[in-house]
Formats: sequence, structure tokens, C-alpha cells
Amino acid sequence: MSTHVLPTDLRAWVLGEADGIVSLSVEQHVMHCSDCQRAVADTMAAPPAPGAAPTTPAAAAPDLTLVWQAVRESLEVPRVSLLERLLSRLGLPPADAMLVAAAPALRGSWLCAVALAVSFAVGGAVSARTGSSGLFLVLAPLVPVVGVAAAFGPEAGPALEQESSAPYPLARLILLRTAAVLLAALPVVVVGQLAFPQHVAWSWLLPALGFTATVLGLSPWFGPWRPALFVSVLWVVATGAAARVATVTAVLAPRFLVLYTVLLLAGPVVLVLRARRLGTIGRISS
Amino acid sequence: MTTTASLDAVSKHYRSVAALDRVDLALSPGITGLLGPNGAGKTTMLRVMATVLRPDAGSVRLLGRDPTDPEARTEIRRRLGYQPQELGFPRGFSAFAFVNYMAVLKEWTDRDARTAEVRRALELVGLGDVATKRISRLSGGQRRRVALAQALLGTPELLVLDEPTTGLDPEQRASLRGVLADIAASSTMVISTHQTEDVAALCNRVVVLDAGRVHFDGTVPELVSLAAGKVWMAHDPDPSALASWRTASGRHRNVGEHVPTGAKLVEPSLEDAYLLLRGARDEASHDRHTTEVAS
Repeated sequence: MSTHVLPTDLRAWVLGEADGIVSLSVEQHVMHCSDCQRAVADTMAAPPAPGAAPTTPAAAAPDLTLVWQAVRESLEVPRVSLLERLLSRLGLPPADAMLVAAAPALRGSWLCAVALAVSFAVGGAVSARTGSSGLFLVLAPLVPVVGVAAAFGPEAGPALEQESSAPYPLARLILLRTAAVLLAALPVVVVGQLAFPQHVAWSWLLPALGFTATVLGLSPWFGPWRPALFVSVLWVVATGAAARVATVTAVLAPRFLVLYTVLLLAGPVVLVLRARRLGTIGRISS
Repeated sequence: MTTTASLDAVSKHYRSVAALDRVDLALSPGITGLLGPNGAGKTTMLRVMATVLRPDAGSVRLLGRDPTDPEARTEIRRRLGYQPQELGFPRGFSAFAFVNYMAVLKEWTDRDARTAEVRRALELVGLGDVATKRISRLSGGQRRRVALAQALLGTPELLVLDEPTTGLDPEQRASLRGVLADIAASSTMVISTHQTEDVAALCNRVVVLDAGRVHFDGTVPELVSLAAGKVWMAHDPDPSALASWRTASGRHRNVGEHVPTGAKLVEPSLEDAYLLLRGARDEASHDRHTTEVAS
């Protein structure tokens, strides 16, 4: 039994008349089979079959190099993903968009963040029906924190050491990934919170962003998970104490909002400065 | 000769353990092999040279620049290739996609130029045929070559390779040696390895590290000459030899100062010399320990 492409299929593929499935099989085989590569060259050099439509000189002898280039391009080069195209449309440079969209650590964490946010929004809606918005306020700011921590775990991704030796700024990479996690997590939680009383609306966003920035700022020293845990415990204790003393919304008093704003501004600055000094972030710097 | 990379009294500690202890080293174009037992400090030294780890003390200069300065470090990284010992790859990436991803981090922003460079690097390490395969489906040796391919992007002037031949079969190793020798003609390369035959085949210079210190720094023939007159073939193993093993001929190769009965002196190899150096050091440290206990 022959293990090569049928001459009729090969000819149809060369002439661009093969359907998608045949084209794919032929391409995959021809890439690695020198006999069939020669057969392609022969087919291209051969005169058209009797009765065939007349072809232009260019069509009769296409540039073989260009054909191979196109075949390899379609097989090897990863397609531009929807997220990558969207980020490019939003004005992100193509290389940055590719880094955000292609990093699988992010992809996994991104999905994780979305799943967390969706499940949380559902939980929040249920708690709203029972008249308790306190639970939402306790948990809402922590969702992006966990998402960001997941985006860098375990210890900033499997290829950290290789990424660290490249000239691309690691802090920028982490901030880009964080932005993508927030993009995924926040809209869903925002939709979830629409069901809650007006006085809570949006106010949790500031602690959420402040805590996320804190995780980023502390990550060069402690990695992402320990600061995330620290911030989460602190927030739960603070909201619990506020609920016992007065009302849970006391954690959103103006003086605390100032604190969250300071954290929001300071976190990325600390990250960039620390990463700049160390030249790397995460397990290999310790 | 031009010094491309230099370490001056460089130290690095992990808690109380000295991974590097006041190491001085100057590297010139060509291949330098780094030999030493596990825990000798080879990987720490290479991480320092790859700018991913800051030493606790001492100064480092790479490609004429100080890596503690952020701008200089970025410039160094533009001209540096690094293959780490511990390989980690993002899940779901093909070999091509990963090297392409690394090429973006290495500032290959033009898509066509990047694609061509990624192909060149993959072809160079013999992975052109499996470029579309997921890394998780590649063999250990192929994964190591994926990491090597990303290190070779852009033909770097300084190449830092941590155990590049580990996991490769003899044919792949021979082929890779050819590739590395070609690249080293125009760059400075430092490779860490446990394979003395790689060092013998590739390196103009060899550095032996142990317990964070440089114990030998010279050419391969100079290291081999340390074992001249100290390698014997005998019918039986010599209990007083620093190292002794049975060879394919059934006779025993004994390395050490003692001359076994009926033994024949043979030409030393790099491995003999390395074992002799290691054995002498172990013996010295054992003697020192015994003296300390006795006193």
C-alpha cells in the first residue's frame, strides 16, 4: 500500500482545486516527504492536461519557494487570536498584544479569573435576594486580587528564567497580564453588583484595585500568593470588625478610600522600581 | 585577548550556604566549559552571567557593561542568549509558538523577520520538522533543544548554556557540538556540563568549580596533564586509587598516585584529570576534617 499522496490529489492541490480536508492532508504529508515534494515540482513543471483551460505563464510555473513558504506559514505560525486582535484594535502595540494573549499562564489564569468572577456574581445575586449585601462587599474586592495572584503563579510562570534574560521589561509584562486579568474579572463582577443597593455600588472597586496593586508591589519580595493571602485575611477581618462595631460599609469611609487610592498608586510604582533594580522578579531573585 | 565577561570577587549565598565564594573569572571569545559536581555553584554562576541573579558581593561586567545599571542590563540582554538548566514551558505551546513568544520578548517586533529568525533557530538545533508539535509531546532532548533555539535567537555575542547536551542521544550531541562550535567562532560561550567528553570536544578552556570556588582554570590539555603518569590499567581494582572502574576490556582503570602491581601506565583523559582533581579535593577535605576531629 502506498504511503504517498495520490497523484490526482497532489495535482488537485497544486492547482488549488482540492477541498479543505484533502489540502490539509496533502500539506502535512508533503512537508516531510521529499518524494512528494519532487512530485509537486514535476506537477508544476508539467504541461497542462489536454482540454484544460489555458493558463498564464505565471500560473503555469508558480514560484515553488513561495508555495512552500505559504504552506509553512499556515502550519507553523500561530494564528492571531481574537483577544490579540481586540487588544491591537484598542491601541496596544502588536507585540504587547501578542504577549498578553499568548502567555498560557495568563490564559489559564484568565479563565480562572473569569470563572471566579462569574461564580461570585451568581453568589452575590443570591445573597442580594436574601437582603445581604455585606457578603458581596466582603468578597468583591478579593476577586481581582485572586485573579492577579493566579496570573503569576506558581511564581510568575514556568518560563520565568528564560523571560527574565530577555530585554523586554518584566514589570511591563506583569502589568500587562494584570490588566488582562482585570479586564476579564471586573466587568462580570460589575454586572453582578448592579443588583445591590445604591450606596455600595462601585465603591468596592477602589479597594479591589488598591489591593491588586498591593499584590503587585509586594510580589518582587514575596511572590504573588502570600501578599494576596495577607490582603484577603486583612480585608475579611476589617469588614468583620466593621460589621460588629457599626456597619460593614464603614470600610468605605472617606479616610479608607484615601488609603486604597494610595495603595493603587504606589503598588505599580514599587513593582517597576523594584523590578528595575533587581532585573528580575520571583523565585530566581531570592 | 578581549574580555567579554568578567566576575570579580563575586559571592552569592543562599542562607548560610555559599553558592559562589569570591569567584574571579574573565571570559574571552570561544567556548569555556564549566565542570563541577552537583551543588558546586555552576548554575548560580551562569544565572549571574545571564543577568537573572544579582550577586551578594563583587562586581560583574558583561559585554563591557555593568548589569546592575538598568539601561546597561537591557543592552546586555539584547546581545545575550541564555538556556537555563531548569526548563519550563507554558502549557499548550508548540515549539514554534514558544520560540516565537521569546522572540517577541527579545524585541523582534517585525512579524516576517521574526518568523524567519524563529525558523532559522529551530532549524539550527534540528527541530525544523517538529516545529508545529506541542512541547508537551516532545522528548526531553527535544525540549532542551527548544530552549537552546530561543537562546540562539539573533546570534547573540554572549551565550550562557546550562547543560545543553543533557538528555540528548549520542548522535544529537555530536550534531549539537557542531552547531555550538560554529556559533562560538563569533561569540563567547560558556557551557555547564557533567559530560567531560563535551568539554574535551568543544572547549578551548575549562573551569572546575567546587563548593562555590574555582579549583582549576586553564586549557583542556593543561587539565589533562594534571593526570599524566597517574592513570594505570591493571587486572584488579586498586583500593588506594582515587577512582577505579572496570573497562570494556575487562581490565581496571585506576586513577591515583599509587602504582598498582603489574599495572601499565596509560594516557590520561579529561575525565581522569577531573576525577583526580575531585578526588584530591575530597581527600584534602577528609584529612582536614580528621585533623579537626583529632584536635
